Amino acid sequence: MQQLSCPHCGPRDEHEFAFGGEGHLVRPDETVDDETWSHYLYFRDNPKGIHYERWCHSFGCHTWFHVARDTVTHQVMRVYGITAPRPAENE
Amino acid sequence: MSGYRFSSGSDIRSSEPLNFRFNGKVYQGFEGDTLASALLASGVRTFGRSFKRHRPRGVFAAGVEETGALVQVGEADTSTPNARASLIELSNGLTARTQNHWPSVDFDVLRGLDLFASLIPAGFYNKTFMWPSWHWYEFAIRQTAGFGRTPKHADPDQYVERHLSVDVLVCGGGPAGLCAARTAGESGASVLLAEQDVRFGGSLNSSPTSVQGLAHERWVSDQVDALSSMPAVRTFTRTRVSGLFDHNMALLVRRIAGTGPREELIRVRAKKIIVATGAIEQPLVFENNDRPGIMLLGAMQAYLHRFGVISGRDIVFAGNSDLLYKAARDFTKAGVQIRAIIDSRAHVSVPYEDLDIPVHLGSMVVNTKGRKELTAVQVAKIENAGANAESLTIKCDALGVSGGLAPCVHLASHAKTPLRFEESIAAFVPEPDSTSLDVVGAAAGDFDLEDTLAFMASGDTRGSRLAAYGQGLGPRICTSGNKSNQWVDLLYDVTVADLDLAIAENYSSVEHMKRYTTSGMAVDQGKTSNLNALSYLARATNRSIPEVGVTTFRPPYMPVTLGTLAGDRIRRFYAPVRELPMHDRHKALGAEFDFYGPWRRPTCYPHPGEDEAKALAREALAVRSGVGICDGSALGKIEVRGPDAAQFLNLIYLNNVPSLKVGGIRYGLMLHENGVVFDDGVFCRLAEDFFLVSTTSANAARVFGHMEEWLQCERPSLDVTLMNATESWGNVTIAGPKARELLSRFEMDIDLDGNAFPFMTMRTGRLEGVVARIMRVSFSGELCFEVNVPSAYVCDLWDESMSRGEDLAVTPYGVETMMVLRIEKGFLHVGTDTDGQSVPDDVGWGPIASRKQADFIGKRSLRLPHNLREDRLQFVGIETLDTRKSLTTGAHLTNQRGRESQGYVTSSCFSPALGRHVGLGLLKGGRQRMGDVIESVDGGRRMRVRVCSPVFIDPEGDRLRG
Repeated sequence: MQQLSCPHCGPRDEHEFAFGGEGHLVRPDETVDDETWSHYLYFRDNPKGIHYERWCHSFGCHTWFHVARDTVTHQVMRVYGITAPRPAENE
Repeated sequence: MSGYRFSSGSDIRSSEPLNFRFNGKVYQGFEGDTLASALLASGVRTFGRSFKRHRPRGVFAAGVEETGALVQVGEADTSTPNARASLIELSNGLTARTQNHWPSVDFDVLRGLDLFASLIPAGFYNKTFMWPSWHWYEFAIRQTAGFGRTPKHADPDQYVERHLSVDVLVCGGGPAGLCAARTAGESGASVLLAEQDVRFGGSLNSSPTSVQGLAHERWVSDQVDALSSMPAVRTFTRTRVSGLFDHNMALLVRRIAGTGPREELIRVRAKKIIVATGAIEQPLVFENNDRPGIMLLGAMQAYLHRFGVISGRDIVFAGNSDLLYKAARDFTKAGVQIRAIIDSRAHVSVPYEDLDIPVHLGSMVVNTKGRKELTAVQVAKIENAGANAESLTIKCDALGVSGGLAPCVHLASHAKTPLRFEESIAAFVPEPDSTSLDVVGAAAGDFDLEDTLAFMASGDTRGSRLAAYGQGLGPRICTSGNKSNQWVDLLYDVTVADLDLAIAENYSSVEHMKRYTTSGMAVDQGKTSNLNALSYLARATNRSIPEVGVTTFRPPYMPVTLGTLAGDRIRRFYAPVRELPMHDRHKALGAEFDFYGPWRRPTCYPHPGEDEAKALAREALAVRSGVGICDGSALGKIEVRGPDAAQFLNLIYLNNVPSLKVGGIRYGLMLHENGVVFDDGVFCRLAEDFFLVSTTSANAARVFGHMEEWLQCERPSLDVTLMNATESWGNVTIAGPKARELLSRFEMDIDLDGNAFPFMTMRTGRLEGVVARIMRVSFSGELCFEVNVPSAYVCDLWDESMSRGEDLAVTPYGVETMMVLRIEKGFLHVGTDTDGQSVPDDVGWGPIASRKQADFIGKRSLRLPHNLREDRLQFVGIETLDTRKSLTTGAHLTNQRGRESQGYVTSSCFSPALGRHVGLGLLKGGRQRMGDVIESVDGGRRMRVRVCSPVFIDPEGDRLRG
């Protein structure tokens, strides 16, 4: 079981959290064409390596936050705020 | 010497004899014995029948790597199948039985299978039982396969669980583990040391030697004493580390002696994990290498030293390393003469002449003899080991085999530690690539104890891996003779012939071979089979072992009882049950209960002699003609506050929110971003900056989570606070033409008059002095007041409603009655009358959605082509042509005599008000088909039905506005 560090509550077991999928998706304006909108709805990155994703401490304080995590080793590179920009690969 | 008990071993207390039963017969052992040692001491050799071929098998090991002595231990519902006799601590009155035979372990009918061994090779079942379907044969085959019997009833034993967090977890309490724990403890770290055996010492217990100048017992007790004096160090025996998982999480299983819980599951999160799991001796491969009497060399030493048990009268050793001579010296010192040593190496550098034992160098065992048990071995020179090899027969009843030690890499492998093949020991060693996991001692391939301890103390260069082996290793696989009788995996009955077949059929990748032959897939995860299997695979396919590679070792390291994993999360603790504040009231009124989402709610309140149908009809008619009360406390109540509350909810709801006046209520739909309807309910405006959102009962937590996500992730700049107040407020819903009359009997500062307090408004005030929020909404189609008071007062409100309404015949009604009322009225129930594709237009909300200017969640998706199709499933009413017939929820709708599903019935009930069955459904292009006669199909039964408006009662809505 993974361990994530909630920015508000500190390190907790994975089962206290809900996975929120890929982070940093930008919600397009409603005037975009169908293809752009469908892409936003249904297309997600599935990298082998670092994945920037969002999690919610749903059985705790309900804080949403970002995690940069390696999908191969499950190593958590970084935990950062929900409004923070996506860090560069080498950060 | 009595029987095979040679002397008193270090583990047993011969002053405390114990009686136990094995296959119904009474035996005697001693305190400290294992079931295996006590039975070996009594001369028992056959401990069960093998998995596929029902060959007799005996004790093969003295620990977790046991492959033969798997027994059913205990009686009835507490019995455990496939328990390793070598791990069962003997206790007075213990009972155990052999497995996998009929009628008895000595005469097994299915033993005949062995005679046809060549007919049931790897893949036999997959190839043979193909036509017409595997499922035709599965039951019969499963009856013959498998080992023990699962108890038929619930496990009466109790299990417990705890969580620990430590700096350092040391897995294994042998010399390396003790040393690592002590070093960590002395640095001030919190340490947990887990040892699966009943005592610390590991290999020292079975192969005594001096350690750092001290006798081994003294050295071990010094370490244990030192550890127990450190307050931050915990030491557990009888505790195995069953698996290592992500982020240094370990799962430990601790056996608890005595009464009380049987096992404890310990979840440990450690900053650092030190794997000190030692090494496992590998067996030799030769013809008939599975006979009872053949045992790992190290196991023989363990039985000798720990339990004073020798495994035979005439013992022969066979192997490929200096371990043979060390063991021979051990036995000689204890006064046991070894008949012969068979060493596959041509040259040996350790002296052995003084042992006075015939030594056959450059030789291997090529076959064994015996009916049920071993009686002799045949030995041949390796260079002659062809088909007509000249062999020498040596009579013996016990054969100790040793193919050298292989580091026990399982735990390291769970943690995804890379493994490297180390030529000098012909085995895989872990190479940790993370600072949070280390492997020490024999588990790392460092077999020389003094060297290891010195290395661990100094922290510099590793010792020589060859130290324990002298001249290195000789071969351990001899394939002359019948390969169908040369076992690689003793537990799953996999032979060299099976490996050959896999290779011949091109399953020559190690992963394919494992799955095709099942080698290494048994519950022991290949502890004694993987290395030989892949060595053979490498040789047969002309590859090196590193090229062949190794399969993944998976948790659990040892089988874990399901009861242990379940712990106390069983029966009523399996999942939390949410009961309403008025649960006791409902019970006292004779309510039937059911689960609705997480809530346990009353379905209806049958009177004595009433069935559910009668109760529903009575309650529904009471609401239509008089007054009923319903516990609505489960309805979700989310408070949304802040200057931007209206703007935020305008994003959440399909409806226009800012235009709602204070005190007003609106019915609204919430969509997911893909446009699908996700929840419905009302929202009311208590103040300019304060809204109350009422969700469906089952969805409260989900809606709250959905709102939190959108607020925090997408609209963080909005000044809004969300609070889920569902449990804070109780709700008594008063419905029916006489609802106002009943409610007016309470003292309150709210004017109930229809003009002052119209439909779809909300009033807050004091009811009998208690703060109350009263909403004029209706899910029944009748005049209705939903009265919300703080949960602490809601029982009083219920009791008072019942007593003050007695003359009005106030009738409590349950959730199913509520469903009858809302189906009659055609009110949508999201999740019942909608599916995972329903968009607002499908349920008649298209115009409202398209009129809204502002953006809302899901808005853009409503214009995607698939959401605009004419033939989408649309919400309609369904009535039977024959009014005596009933509709089935879930029945498919087709054209008359049609074969294609055009939709289905989503809700149906008998309407007491109309005296016939009515239903709701989703139908392709349904709104354009009003009045059409179609058919419902239910399990092949076809019936003509008519498409109609979903509103069956009071289409003008006069009653609910009343």
